[in-house]
Amino acid sequence: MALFQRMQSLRKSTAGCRSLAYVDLSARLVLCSDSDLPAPPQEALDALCLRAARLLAGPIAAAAGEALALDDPPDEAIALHNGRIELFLRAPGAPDEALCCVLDAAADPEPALAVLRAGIGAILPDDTAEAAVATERGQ
Amino acid sequence: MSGLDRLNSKLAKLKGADDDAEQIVTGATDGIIAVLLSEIEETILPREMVLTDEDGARFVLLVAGRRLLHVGETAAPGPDEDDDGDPSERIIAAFNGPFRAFLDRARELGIDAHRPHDRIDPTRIGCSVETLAQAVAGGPTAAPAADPVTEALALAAAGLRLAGGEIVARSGDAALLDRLEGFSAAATGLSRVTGEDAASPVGTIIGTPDPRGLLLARVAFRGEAALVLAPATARPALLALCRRPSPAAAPA
Repeated sequence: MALFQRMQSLRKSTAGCRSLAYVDLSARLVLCSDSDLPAPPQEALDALCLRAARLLAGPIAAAAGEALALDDPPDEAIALHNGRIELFLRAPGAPDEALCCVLDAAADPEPALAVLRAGIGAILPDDTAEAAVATERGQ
Repeated sequence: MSGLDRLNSKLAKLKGADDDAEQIVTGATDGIIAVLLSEIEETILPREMVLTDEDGARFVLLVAGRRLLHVGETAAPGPDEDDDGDPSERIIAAFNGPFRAFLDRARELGIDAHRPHDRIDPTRIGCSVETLAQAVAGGPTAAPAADPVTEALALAAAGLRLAGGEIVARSGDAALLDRLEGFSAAATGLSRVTGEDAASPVGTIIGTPDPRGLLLARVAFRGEAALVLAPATARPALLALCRRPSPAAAPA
């Protein structure tokens, strides 16, 4: 199954999910996305990606990790603003990549997070996972 | 004692307007409450105000720093008993509930005031006159004024209250507060991630789902923010208070 199809499948199985984006936190780049119609403009997805980068990487994430007494920056964040619920999850096999989810205002974030946690491993592109392993090995 | 005499005279006058002893005149109660709020507003040093009715039933109000710290049929509990939950909600519930009913029932009222027997912890938050007046204006059945910043702090193991980016109050575990203060500089950046929304609370919750762990959260509303370290189990409650309609928008 192609990456796009895996994203679409995960979005449809996440109750209340309007948009799902797979992003590169260091490059601040949306790698792949899937949304309900009408699809959000690219600017909205770029802003979502930027929020993910700020919450899961960079100085805020590093300071949050220290405040939480974690060895690494935190892997999950939730933002609620302007009637929107946004979920951010770091990819387990690729720490510089993350899944961003925009939920309906009425959706319940807890079950959505559980579905995304279970599904994020399946949408991770094989080549990205291999690249992450190769980086860790210093290849 | 001239202040007390003046207060007793006002109470007698207000209750004297009630011709029928069996009738509950809420207008008289409203007048008495207005007098008491005014008295609380003027009280800086700790005072225990004791209101007694014609049957000897009494209510005790502990006041300090223009705030009501306790209201009940007995003297104020110790700080340890007073630590759980949001103190202002508890005080408003007691004030609008049993205390108001006591005022409604009383045919005669007297008031006495003295310094409390025990030292009052200056960090006790209690309930401000403004918050109390708002809740009283809503009537006995009105819910206490919801303040998501205060509620977030009540859920926390440690919390900072921020106004205009400055720390204005600290509460909770000292070691966790040190960690939070280390994060407070980064919290300014966190506020830029979500921006501010005048109409409803804005929340950011960072952390792992480990139920034994902690969450870092920022809840902002109307120029104030709570920066907290809370148990992971508090996440549903933190989410709920950020999703609730704002106090201004909520139906009365």
